[in-house]
Amino acid sequence: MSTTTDTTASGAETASVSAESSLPLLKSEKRWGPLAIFGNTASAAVATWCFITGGFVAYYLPAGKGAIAITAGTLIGVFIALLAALPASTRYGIEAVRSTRPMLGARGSNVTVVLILLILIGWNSVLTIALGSAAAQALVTMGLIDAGAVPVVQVIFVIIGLIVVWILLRHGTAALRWAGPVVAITVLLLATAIAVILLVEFGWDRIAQAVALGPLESANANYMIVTELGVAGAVAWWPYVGSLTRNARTTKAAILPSILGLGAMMSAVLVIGLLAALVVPESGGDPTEFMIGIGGPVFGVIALIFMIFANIGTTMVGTYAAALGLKQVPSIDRRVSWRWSVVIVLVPVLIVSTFFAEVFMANYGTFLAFAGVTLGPMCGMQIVDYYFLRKQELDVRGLYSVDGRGAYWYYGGFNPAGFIAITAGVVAYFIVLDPVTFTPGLGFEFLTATVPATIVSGLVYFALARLFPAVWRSRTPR
Amino acid sequence: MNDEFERRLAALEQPERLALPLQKSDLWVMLGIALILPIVLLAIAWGW
Repeated sequence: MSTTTDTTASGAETASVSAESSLPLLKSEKRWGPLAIFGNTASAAVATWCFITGGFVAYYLPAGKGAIAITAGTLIGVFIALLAALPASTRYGIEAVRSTRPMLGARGSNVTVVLILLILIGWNSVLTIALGSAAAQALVTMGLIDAGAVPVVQVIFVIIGLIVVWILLRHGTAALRWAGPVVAITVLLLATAIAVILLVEFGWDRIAQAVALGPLESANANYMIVTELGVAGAVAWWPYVGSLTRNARTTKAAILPSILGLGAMMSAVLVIGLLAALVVPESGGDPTEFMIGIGGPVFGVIALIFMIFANIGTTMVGTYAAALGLKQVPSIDRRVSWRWSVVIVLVPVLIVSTFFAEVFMANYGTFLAFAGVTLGPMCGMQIVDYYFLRKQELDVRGLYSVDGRGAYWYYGGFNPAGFIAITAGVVAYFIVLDPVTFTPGLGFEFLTATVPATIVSGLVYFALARLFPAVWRSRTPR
Repeated sequence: MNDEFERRLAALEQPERLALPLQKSDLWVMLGIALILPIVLLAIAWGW
């Protein structure tokens, strides 16, 4: 029956509608196989920001240690995000916001919407700022504009890029299915070309012997800051994991492609950003700053054009996840169409990219830490809730109840245990690391900051759930 | 839309209409590649 529905026009239409609404996806509507999952997770993760984060790594560690620490940190962060979000999303066809209802409550989960919007607006701003910069650099190199016109041209291309994203996304996920793999392949080709040029231009010996640009005194602190950058950067994929993997046919089919797409591919590009920043320190790992200089004008312009398209693709994935998150708020879902949801998500990106680009990029590290501060505790709580308390069984009606009677309504729509646990996780993070100055605190040199924040949040949530069995019983599945 | 919504919820309340939960073998894949391997790598590089 379901197969028949799938192949009919109406079935396709229903699947399309549910893919960009608050409705859960049914098994028969989940059409993404391993390749689509890999392509979309890779295109979400493998983007310009990898070069920039790689550039951050160069401040603390040289090539060898830096490559290992950032790769390991990224994989650990991916583990946390996948373990928390993937199984519930693939099993119930729900995205990230909806999946937090059991922990935060039907109304409390709206906090997740705000959180996700902030993080995805941040990621999309990084991309569109880089897009504008790449476009302007390419035009300067081709002699089409003067250097003085760069700021204006950057803004123009930011606007064009966001309009293109809206056009591609206005009908839903159709464009994502082909765009994901195309973007992933584009960025990987670009990264490979940059790696080859770096090796030819500077040689492996010089890259390997390059010293870190501005390390702290403590070797352990340098090591853990880089690991933390990896963990926090990967945990930031938690909203993407929910939105993308819910389209997977099975849980099993989504796991390895997600690890490879988010973890392995991203690590590879992070390492290239690190190598570039070590030998071209003024670039900070950003390819727009060095591609023309070391690759020559022809390669430089081609590479910048590649980057522009890749950034549009990745912004599209992020915008889809953010708009989908927005649609999980019932009042918004009823009143705002999919097209307008996309607009609502893109407007703040436009504002940040146009008016606050410099300030935002100067605080990129703090933005990354923000993801670890907030999403680490969220993941810790979700892992405990989904596996240890609910044994992978959710109350489907409770996930969608808005009448005050659902299993996840708790107290006025809020679950105090969830908010206390998140607060505990955030406090734990601040104890081990100052996310603004990156000053290490208690235990940071052995633990990172996101990992203890995740563990503390999970433990506190578990303790509260056990200490108040009356609350727990009222939210067990029917 | 309400009918459609109700149809979906009813379908998702039937375990056979759901994707399987995370299996132990899948968990081991995740643990091995994304947790144990990076911790080993970190330990090796720590002593480098």
